[in-house]
Amino acid sequence: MTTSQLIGTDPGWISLVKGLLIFVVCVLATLMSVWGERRIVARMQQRLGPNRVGPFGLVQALADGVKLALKEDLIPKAADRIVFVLAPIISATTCFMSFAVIPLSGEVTLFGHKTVMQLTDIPVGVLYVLAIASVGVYGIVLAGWSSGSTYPLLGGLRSSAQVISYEVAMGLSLVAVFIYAGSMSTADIVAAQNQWWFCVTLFPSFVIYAISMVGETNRAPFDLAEAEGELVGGFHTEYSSLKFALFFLAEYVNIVAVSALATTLFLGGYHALPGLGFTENWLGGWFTVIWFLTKVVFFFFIFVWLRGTLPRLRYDQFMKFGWKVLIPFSLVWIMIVATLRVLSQQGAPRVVVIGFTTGVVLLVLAGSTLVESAKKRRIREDALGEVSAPSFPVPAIPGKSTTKEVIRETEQLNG
Amino acid sequence: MTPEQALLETEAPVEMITVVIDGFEVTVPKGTLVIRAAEKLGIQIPRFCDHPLLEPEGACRQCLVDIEINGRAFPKPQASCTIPVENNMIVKTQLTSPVAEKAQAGIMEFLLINHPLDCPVCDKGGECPLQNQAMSTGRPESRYEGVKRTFEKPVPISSQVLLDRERCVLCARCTRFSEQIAGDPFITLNDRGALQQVGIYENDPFESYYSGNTVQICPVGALTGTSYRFRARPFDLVSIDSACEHCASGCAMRTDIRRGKTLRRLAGDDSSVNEEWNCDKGRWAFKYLTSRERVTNPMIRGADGELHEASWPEAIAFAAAGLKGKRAGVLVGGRATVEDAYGYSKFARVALGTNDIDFRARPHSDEETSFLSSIALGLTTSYKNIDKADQVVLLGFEPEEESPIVFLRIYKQVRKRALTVLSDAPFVSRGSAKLGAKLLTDISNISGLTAKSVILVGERLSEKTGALSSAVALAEKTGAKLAWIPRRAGERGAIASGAIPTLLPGGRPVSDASARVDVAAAWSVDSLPSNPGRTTSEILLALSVKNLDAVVIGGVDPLDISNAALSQLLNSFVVSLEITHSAITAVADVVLPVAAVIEKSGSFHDWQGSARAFDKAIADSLSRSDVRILSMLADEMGTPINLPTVAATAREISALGKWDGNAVKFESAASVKDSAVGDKLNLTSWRLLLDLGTLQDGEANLAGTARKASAHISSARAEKLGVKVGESISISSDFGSLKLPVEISEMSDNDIWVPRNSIGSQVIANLGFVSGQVTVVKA
Amino acid sequence: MDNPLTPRSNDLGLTAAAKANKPIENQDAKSFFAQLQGFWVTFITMFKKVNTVQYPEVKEPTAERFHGRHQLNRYDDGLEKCIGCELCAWACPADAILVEGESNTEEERYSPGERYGKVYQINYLRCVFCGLCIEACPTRALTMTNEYELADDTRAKVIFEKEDLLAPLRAGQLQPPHPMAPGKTHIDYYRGDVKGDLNG
Repeated sequence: MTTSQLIGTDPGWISLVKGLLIFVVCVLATLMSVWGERRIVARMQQRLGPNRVGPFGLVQALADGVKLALKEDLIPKAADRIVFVLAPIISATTCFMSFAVIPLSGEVTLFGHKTVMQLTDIPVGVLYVLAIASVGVYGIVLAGWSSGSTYPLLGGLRSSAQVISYEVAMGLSLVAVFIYAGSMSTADIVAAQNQWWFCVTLFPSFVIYAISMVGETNRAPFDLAEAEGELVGGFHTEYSSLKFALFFLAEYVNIVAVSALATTLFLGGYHALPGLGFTENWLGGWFTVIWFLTKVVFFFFIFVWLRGTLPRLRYDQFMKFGWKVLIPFSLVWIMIVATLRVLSQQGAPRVVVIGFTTGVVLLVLAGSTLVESAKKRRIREDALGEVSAPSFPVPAIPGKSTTKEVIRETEQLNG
Repeated sequence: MTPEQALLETEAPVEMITVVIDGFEVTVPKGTLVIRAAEKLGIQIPRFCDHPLLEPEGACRQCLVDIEINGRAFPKPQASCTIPVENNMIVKTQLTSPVAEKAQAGIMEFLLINHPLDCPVCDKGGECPLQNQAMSTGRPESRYEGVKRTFEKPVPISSQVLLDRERCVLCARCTRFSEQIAGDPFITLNDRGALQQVGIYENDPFESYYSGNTVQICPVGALTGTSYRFRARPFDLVSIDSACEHCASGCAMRTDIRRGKTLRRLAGDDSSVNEEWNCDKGRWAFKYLTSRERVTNPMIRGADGELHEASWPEAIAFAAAGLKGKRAGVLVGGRATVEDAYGYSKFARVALGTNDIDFRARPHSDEETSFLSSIALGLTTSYKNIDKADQVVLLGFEPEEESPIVFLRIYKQVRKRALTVLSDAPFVSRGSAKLGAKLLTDISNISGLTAKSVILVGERLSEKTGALSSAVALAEKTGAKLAWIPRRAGERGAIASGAIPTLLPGGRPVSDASARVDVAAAWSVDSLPSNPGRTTSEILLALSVKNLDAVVIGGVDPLDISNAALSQLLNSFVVSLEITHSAITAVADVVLPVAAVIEKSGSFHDWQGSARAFDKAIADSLSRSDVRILSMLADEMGTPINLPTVAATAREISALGKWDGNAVKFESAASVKDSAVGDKLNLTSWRLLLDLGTLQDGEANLAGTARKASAHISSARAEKLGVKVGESISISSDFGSLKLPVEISEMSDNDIWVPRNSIGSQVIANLGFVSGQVTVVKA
Repeated sequence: MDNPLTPRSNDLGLTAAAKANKPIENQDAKSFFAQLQGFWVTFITMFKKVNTVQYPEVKEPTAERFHGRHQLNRYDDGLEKCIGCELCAWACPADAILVEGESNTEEERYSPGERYGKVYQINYLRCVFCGLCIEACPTRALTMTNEYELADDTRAKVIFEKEDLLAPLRAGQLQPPHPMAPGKTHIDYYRGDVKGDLNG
């Protein structure tokens, strides 16, 4: 039976159980993500993360949650009360909803019933996820506006502008996946990756998707809109206590959601690594969940790695990147993929396919060389003439000269 | 004398001399010392023994400079503090002459050889001229490897002053001061060479009312005050310019406060009043400010007859209820500031509707009331008149005991040009002896008085009927300058503020209708009471016979007035505005705590009539001034006086201004001859500077320097009584008796003198009066 | 010996250095692979030994001359070295020390000599542990221990009084007030001639 058939025959209570399990898994995933992020980023900075609350600090996130719940709940006087309360609810609920179409496992038996760990399967599953993510932006924009305060408003606008820009790039990168899989249903896309994962066959799409998923979730290095030093807290400045906890939750669930989507669309979903296909039958099919979770964790690690390594990009820098680099690239790539697909569908001979591919590659190489030389010429022209050293004392350059050398140099100049 | 003083003295032009110091020209009057001339240029020559108010000594040799006159240089560097300027003189100080610099460094080294390493334990550390000049003029490290000479230390030379001989740099400032300024040459330099040390006479302690000044001018920590010993360091202290609240001399003071507590008071600099000196009482009697007896909260006497603490609104309401609509009097006391006295004055007229207000908490008379209302405010005699006087007459006034700075001023002239001083005291007191005073028997017949003579009248002249009138007549006849010098700081200001039954503020007579209208307009009231009010004794009498129902009392000690004063208050409603618990608060119905002088701003008038203003020294003090409390009271009574702050009061006083209309005429009284009846003696007394005054409470060290009470009689009388010096006699009246040791002085056989308020000699309390007949027998 | 009164030259030679021409560093962006190197750095750091010290289970010992809590020292017989001179309060840049001196009397003697510190407070909320007070103390009464665990929850508890700061009594030391060792003067104490167990 196909996935949709399996799901179609689910009795109502199974759906409820699945929904509940998804919710629990999401929340647990959030707790583990918070813990994981703090510990991993800490190790990248040559320190331990939290290790006091619970063994290895596992209960830290829970303690933080309880703390947030016990905090004073403030609603600013100038805030629009209804929308102010509604905004985090919107944010939180939408990110849970995107899990409805994610296939977490292959065929399994749940309480004696044969089913798959996917709540529902609609023919436009991925589109549904994109739509839900767009609705999620409402949460941010409404939060910023309803706070009745300048910083949240500016932060909210920035955040939402960033999110929708990177959504465009994300959507475009997924078009190639649809062309290759021939369907927008998540189950079908996973099934289409039996042989080759799309991260290999559609590598550029994968890269573009990976970058735009970081931009979509407001994570480093694209996190200017909520960086503390820049706009206080961004759209969630005026929020406290549980409402803030909801935003916090929403952010992490979003991360898990886009990672899950990436896994589904590019890493083959719940399929095992090529060559280890036999493991998919272990534990009565439940082992596929392990594979799925491993891939999600892998993406999560990439998120954390990016955060621990890269400095923050400026707002104009990453908006420029999203619109002027990612989208044109994805458009061009889509054209290439579409052409190749049409060629293969029309049954074009291999030679044409290879010729076309080679031509594209040569064009790309030529183009990049031209761009490089143009950049170099611009820099040479822009180069300033001999500039006199500043008239104020400058410290020694690390690795170049020591303080002693600088002092000796200046003393020698004195005579 | 300094050339500046010479300028004042004679109006003749003084010869000016131009000298060159360090290449700069300066023109100074003839007789100026080189060190002074250098200061005019801003060149500071290091010195220890030099002091502008003391005669040059040249003892320390620190101020060495290179001098050249008429092209001929002195072979050795000279002490600039002993050399007056000359024409064609070229001076090179340490700034331009290496010889002078080396000489000064050498002298500094000499001074430091035997100077002990006491800086951490020495009170002078941090404000020490030796430390400062050692840093500027000396070498950074000592070359001395021997053993320093040591003395036993510290040696108390009085209970207030400690001497540390090791630290002394032999500058002779203390010895010169005590001899030239105070006239008490009890401290001298003894021995010679390295063992030279400051010392006192074996059997005579350093008994001088000005011993504190030696502590202030000592350039090292050799002379230190016992009450400040080890108390604080200069950086702990916040220094405020203030005015002395004790006597009417009007000294400028510098009060040093640490964490809200006054730790010491130094003499401030005012060349027209106290120069740089003050007396021991002004310097050290401030412990009453932190007495445990301070009233901190308002108190109300409840139905049980006991005082209970209450809140301000409660206490003010209770007091207002007791005063409103009642016939009340006001006793201000002699220690109110000008603004507070003005507050009392306005309160009495506006809120109580009466002229029954008097500031005199001492024996007084109607003759004195007339004198104060008519003549006192118009007197313009000042310290400068004493400087230029050809004769000084002291009537009922003992300068060293009652106004010490006046004494210093007179003594300066006595020493300089043998100024003649006449006194009507019964015998030549210690102070008068220093002044070389001659005794007077008949004050109406003094010869040789001219327009440049000065007659200093004290408050005690009111105790002899007709004496004030004689003094006034004398002044009119001869053109001599008359001055009235009270004992307390607030009395002159109280007259100017109208805290007297016959005057309104600014010297406006109560009896003058236009004056009343003037003040009523300024105060925004319809009219002011026109009947002249009662004096202190009359107020007390009225209270006792229920002609008055209530009284508002400031800082008054009833035993200063009479021994019946307290009992006369007993059955009236008493509102007491006091600093500490006293005899009055013990019988008061309401006690309202007032701010002491450091907790409020204000001003005092000295006996000349010059004002000295001072700011609130403790900035965050919550205490309220008298005028503020009276304003609150008046508001509650429904007749506001609108004086919420001292600043507002000061503004109102200056806006009101002085009365330029007709003054009241002085009503003279005929003299009464006192007759000695039989074997009875005439009692005379005055208050010593250091005695049982309330403001001297809490300072045991100061009390230790007070002169021992003894009774003075003539040798004939002593023989008649069969007593010798030191033996006790008993002095008694109808009321009580005193027992005192005997001193023999040259005086009338019919007179006996005792201190008025010292330990063992409280005249009013024990004898019942200040002047009258007493019986004296050997005890 | 050069004259200590002549100031030295204050010239540091910076103007001259500024006049010499030095080019600006190359500001091109690094190549793509060089930028990826950063990722390797963070990754490999994950496996390095962490610097974290698990305080309070593990307490790293402090350096020998560590600036910790102050201590008022005593002489061998128990008399306090502090003479209440207030030099430490004077030196303190944070105004953390309050000292009030008092005279020793023969009946109540706390230190050799005339003067002792009656009130001695250090406010550890103001103290910056700079050690200037230690340098200022003329009798070496004030020194710093290695104790740094001074945190508390009210202001009053963090103001240490004299009792909190006095060195504990060792064997042979008698708690003041008591007279000086028989036959000794304060000079003997300052010279260090009063040593050893004097109280048996």
